[in-house]
Amino acid sequence: MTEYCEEFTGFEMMLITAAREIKEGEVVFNAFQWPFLSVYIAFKLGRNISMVFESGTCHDYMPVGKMPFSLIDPVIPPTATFIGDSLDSLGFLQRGDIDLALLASSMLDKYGNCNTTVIGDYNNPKIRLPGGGGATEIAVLAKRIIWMLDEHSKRRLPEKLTFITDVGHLNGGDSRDKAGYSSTQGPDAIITDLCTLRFDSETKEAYLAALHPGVTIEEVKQKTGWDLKIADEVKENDPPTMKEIEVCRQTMKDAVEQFYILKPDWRKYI
Amino acid sequence: MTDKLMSMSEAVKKFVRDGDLVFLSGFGNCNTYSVVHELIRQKKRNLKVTKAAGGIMFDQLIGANVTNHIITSHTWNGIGPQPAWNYRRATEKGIPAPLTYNEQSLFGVNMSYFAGYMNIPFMPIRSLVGSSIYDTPKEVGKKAAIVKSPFSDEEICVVPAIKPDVGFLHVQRVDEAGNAQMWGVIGDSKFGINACKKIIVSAEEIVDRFVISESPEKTMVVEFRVDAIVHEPWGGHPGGVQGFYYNDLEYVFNYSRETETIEGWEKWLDKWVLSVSDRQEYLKVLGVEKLERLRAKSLIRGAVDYGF
Repeated sequence: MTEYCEEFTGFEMMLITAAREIKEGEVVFNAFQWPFLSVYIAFKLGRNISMVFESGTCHDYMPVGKMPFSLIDPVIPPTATFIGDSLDSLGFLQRGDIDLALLASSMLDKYGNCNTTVIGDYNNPKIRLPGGGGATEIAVLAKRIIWMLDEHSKRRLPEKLTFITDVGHLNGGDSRDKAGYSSTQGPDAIITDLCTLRFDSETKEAYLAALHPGVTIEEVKQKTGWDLKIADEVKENDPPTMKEIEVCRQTMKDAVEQFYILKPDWRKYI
Repeated sequence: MTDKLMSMSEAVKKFVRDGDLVFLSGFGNCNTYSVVHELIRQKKRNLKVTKAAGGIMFDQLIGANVTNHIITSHTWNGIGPQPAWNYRRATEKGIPAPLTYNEQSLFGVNMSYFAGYMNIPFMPIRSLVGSSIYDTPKEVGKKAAIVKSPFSDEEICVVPAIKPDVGFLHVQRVDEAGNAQMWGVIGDSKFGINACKKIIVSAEEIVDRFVISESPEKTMVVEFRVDAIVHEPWGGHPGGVQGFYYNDLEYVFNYSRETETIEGWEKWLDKWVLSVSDRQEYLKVLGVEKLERLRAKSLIRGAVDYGF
């Protein structure tokens, strides 16, 4: 019988739920910040995957012991399977070679479009964000996208964005198709600290598909910036297994050692 | 042959003019930090700067008012991650000057470098359409377009060539003719530097010509493209250089803490840039103990048989 952990944080559930989306044998585009941690967790749980980094490096292995601080850590090249240019890895993406990409997000709308450019008016910003980096192409060219959002709130999940850095399902329906992208690809889920949202196959609008243990439908609805639709049968994501939580917490400890900033309430059990 | 060798100060003085478009290489590995500091010391003004991910190199150039126009896909401090505060002050409050951010995607900007390198006007890409960065900001003019393929009915997005006036590349080793070799993470370095009209190479080591031929596939730029060579050990700090030193994560983490206020930034700038005259003096401020902690342990990887 699988033993489950009873006490955990929403942040840990986000990392683990995202790691579970990574299937054996997939080619995974390994991106900056939280995706990097989830891919590392999946790898340490024994998943065999091919990893492609935006730096132009490919890998089937992650150095264990000390976690690499990022996809540019010098610890990665000595065991890499391929070192090229950024154009090579982005080319793999454009060719359609990437099965799955996890991406961290600042702000997502109900069609899974992402804004990492600006909060407020573009010309008079309240807060200026970094810009999209490679996510602008990853979001439209990987076969499947999983967005990771570390705070499920109205602020981070508004109904509409003022600036679309990365295209998700655009305006819903067939609008993504019309923009020249495959409608069968793109955002498949938004995984937050509360739940998993998935996208309706017709309207492409995000709906509540599964709750993390202990979270209510009411809480999720209250913290979402639009009138969130609910699946006929809302599932519950399994709590972390003892093995998952052990690997997750070790990864979080490693991350803190590598100068990742993790909020205190995310890491209260480590 | 040795007339390409000069100091960083001489190279910046000779090759960078106010208003130039400047490419700065390094994708975590082999960053051109010592160039950034020299541009600041020489009070270069109105530079346009480009790099796939600007990071805190751009943050420093913005804070010191060297640039008011960046062409990049991402500007932040990757360690934390934390805000690049000078970048935020400039974009949010116009301090020290308003900043034009020519928004790019990582693929778009790399393809623009490739077009510059190949001396062709544009390159097609299968992204950007639908994104607000396709035509933002308006003041930089046309950034992308959709064209019909002359060979089919397919429509595709194209991005223009970027051809910087001058580019800086930091590498592990270079010979006196300018054959520059880099290994480890390459990122945008190879295509970015080859898109430039003038090229300055700085290196951890100056080596004999025969060392280059031991692994010619590591050469990023060929001698006939290179205008100046600078011997600049530790030129990539606080980034890492594969085989030489590890990234100084503590220093980069603290950078955002130390530069959150204007006063903090000015103090930082004075300590690390304005009060030192070159990289050698910078290293003295950093201290021998720190250098020894960052120095890479040797890990030689195999050689292949080039026999015929």
